Amino acid sequence: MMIGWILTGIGLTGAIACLAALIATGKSFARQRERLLENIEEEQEDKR
Amino acid sequence: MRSGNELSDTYQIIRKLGEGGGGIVYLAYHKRLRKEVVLKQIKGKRFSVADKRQEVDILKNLNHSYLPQVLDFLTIDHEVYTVMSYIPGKSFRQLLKEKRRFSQGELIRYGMQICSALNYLHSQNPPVIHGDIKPANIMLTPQGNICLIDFNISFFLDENAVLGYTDGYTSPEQYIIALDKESERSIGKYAKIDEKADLYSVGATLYHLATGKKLSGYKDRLDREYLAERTSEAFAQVIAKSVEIDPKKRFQNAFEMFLAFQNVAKKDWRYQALLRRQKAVRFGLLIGMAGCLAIGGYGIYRIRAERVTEYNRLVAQQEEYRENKEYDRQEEVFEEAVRILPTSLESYYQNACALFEQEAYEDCISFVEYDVEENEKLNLMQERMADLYYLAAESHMELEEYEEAVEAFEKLFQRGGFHQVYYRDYAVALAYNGEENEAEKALNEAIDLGLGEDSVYYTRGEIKKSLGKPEEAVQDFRNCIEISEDAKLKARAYVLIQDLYEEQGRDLDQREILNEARNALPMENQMLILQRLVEVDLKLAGKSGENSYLKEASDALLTVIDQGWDSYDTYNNLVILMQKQGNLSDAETYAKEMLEKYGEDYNIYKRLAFLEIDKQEQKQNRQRDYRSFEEYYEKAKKWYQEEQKENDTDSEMELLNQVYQQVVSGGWLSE
Repeated sequence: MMIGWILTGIGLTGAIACLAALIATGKSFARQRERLLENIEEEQEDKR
Repeated sequence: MRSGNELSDTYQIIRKLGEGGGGIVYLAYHKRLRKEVVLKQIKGKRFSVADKRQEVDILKNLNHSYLPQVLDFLTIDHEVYTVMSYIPGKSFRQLLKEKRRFSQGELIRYGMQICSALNYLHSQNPPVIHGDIKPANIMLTPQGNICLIDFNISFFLDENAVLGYTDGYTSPEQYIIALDKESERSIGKYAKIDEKADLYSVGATLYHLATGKKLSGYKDRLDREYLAERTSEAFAQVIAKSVEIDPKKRFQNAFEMFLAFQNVAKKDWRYQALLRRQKAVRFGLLIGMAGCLAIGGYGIYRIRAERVTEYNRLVAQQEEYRENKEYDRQEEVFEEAVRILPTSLESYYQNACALFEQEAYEDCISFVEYDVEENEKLNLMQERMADLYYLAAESHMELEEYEEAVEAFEKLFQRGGFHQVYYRDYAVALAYNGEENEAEKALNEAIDLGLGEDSVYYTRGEIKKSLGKPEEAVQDFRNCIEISEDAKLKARAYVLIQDLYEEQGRDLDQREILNEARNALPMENQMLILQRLVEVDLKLAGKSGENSYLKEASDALLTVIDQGWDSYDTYNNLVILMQKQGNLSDAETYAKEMLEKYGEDYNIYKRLAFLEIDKQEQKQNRQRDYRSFEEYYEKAKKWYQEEQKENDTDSEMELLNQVYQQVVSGGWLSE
């Protein structure tokens, strides 16, 4: 039954890791987008 | 009017601000509000303010951060003037003249503010179309915000009024309508001016602010590349859309244009690239999660499959141990199997079979009724349950609990179990329970299910036996034996004939039928026959005193041992028989084999002690040596004390004690 447990362990660990990463991207990606937008808008302010 | 003039008690003209197509504009002082206001003449057809009360109220109620407040309407010398709050600051026309340059950020902010004001105006009921958006009509306040002034009130108040046009800022449709009206021709395909005309003007105005170049007319197309160079491709895209000739291709309302300005930065290729990357990462993670869940799901499937495989292996092992009569090991494997797959009945069935084979009928019944039936983890609707009930029923039969046997059979049939053998044995149980008619019905069911003729005879024999008709029963069993090719069935028939003879006290007939069975049946089916033969021979030996029966009995026991069917009792009986025949050395050999096979207990040492006594008594006095006897006696006594249960005395041990005392008192042994 070893293979079954190993596969289940890998699968569940992987799924949880992916889920955690997905949740983490929620905030980090939004921050990334905000920062980039700020940079772009600053460039726009400087461009005359 | 001139500076210093007073209008009613409310206004004092400060100065003239300007004069345009709309009329003269004055800066005045509102005495009551104590602030500067703007008076603007509404040029166009004359009308009475009183007649336009509703529209006037709409205008007076307008309230927006980027619009001047309409305070009042005046009629002076038949001319109508609007009174609006004065907006400090400079118009964008002035700022353009001053060569002021604007960043994209500023332009976006102004665009959003203008759209916000337009959205407000266009949302009124009826909508208020500005109609004259251009740099001159947009103020930049000292706070850095815009104010949209000078919207064409006359157009709102008089639906027949003509909207003016300003080259470079006016939408094509407004331009054409204005030209058509001037030339008094009928209006072409542009039937009406709506919000989209204002949006065109906003786009054209911002283009001028961004590039310093004004569109020369509605036919003049904007220099998009140049605009994108000065600002960005995304901004140029917004402006380009707003100045589309076809209104249907422009933004459809001010809010849409507002959002477009708001999202200019988001249109930047870098932002779009980041969005794509982030989407790809998220998608990848989702796929990864789905993949991992699939792996996990497969893992669980494997665990279950492997669990089932391991379980089946253990059940097969149980069956093997049963065949080899290794019942302790069978039980260990049973417990392990149940741990692995607690919901399956297979291992329970094997264990029940083991109990039945060990003739532990009460344990078998209790196992089925409690360990199985009351086990919440088990699904009792499995087919195997019928087989378990069959074992319970057969156990009840062995214990002569016929009513309980019938109940167990009835539970069996509730689980399906429509098998000829089950109906056959059910018929027997009913017969023994005194339900002759029901027994016949059950037998007929079995026949309908294909019960063989030999089995029919056998069952009829059982039924007749239960009804106390021994002669008919014997005849049925004989018929069964004659036609059957099933050795097991024949063996059972022989045994039942012997039972009937035993009931009738026909010892010699018992011996005869058992010997007949011995000759007719293959060796593997003779176990019970031989055991019964030993019992009958011992009885006959006891009654007749003839040693030939003892010899026959011991031969039968030796055959049982050779076939591996021996038990403790087999050896014990053999030792006794050998001793009775005077075959002391063989008896001693078998007694010591018992010790090896079954371990020490008082009975074996008792047997050895008696054998030793007999052995010594065959010798002359001088040659007698009772030390071995003493040794066996001491061991028998020691084990007897350990094993003895309350009120359970072995008369042979008492006899052995007496013999020992005799030997001691005879001086053969010291105390």
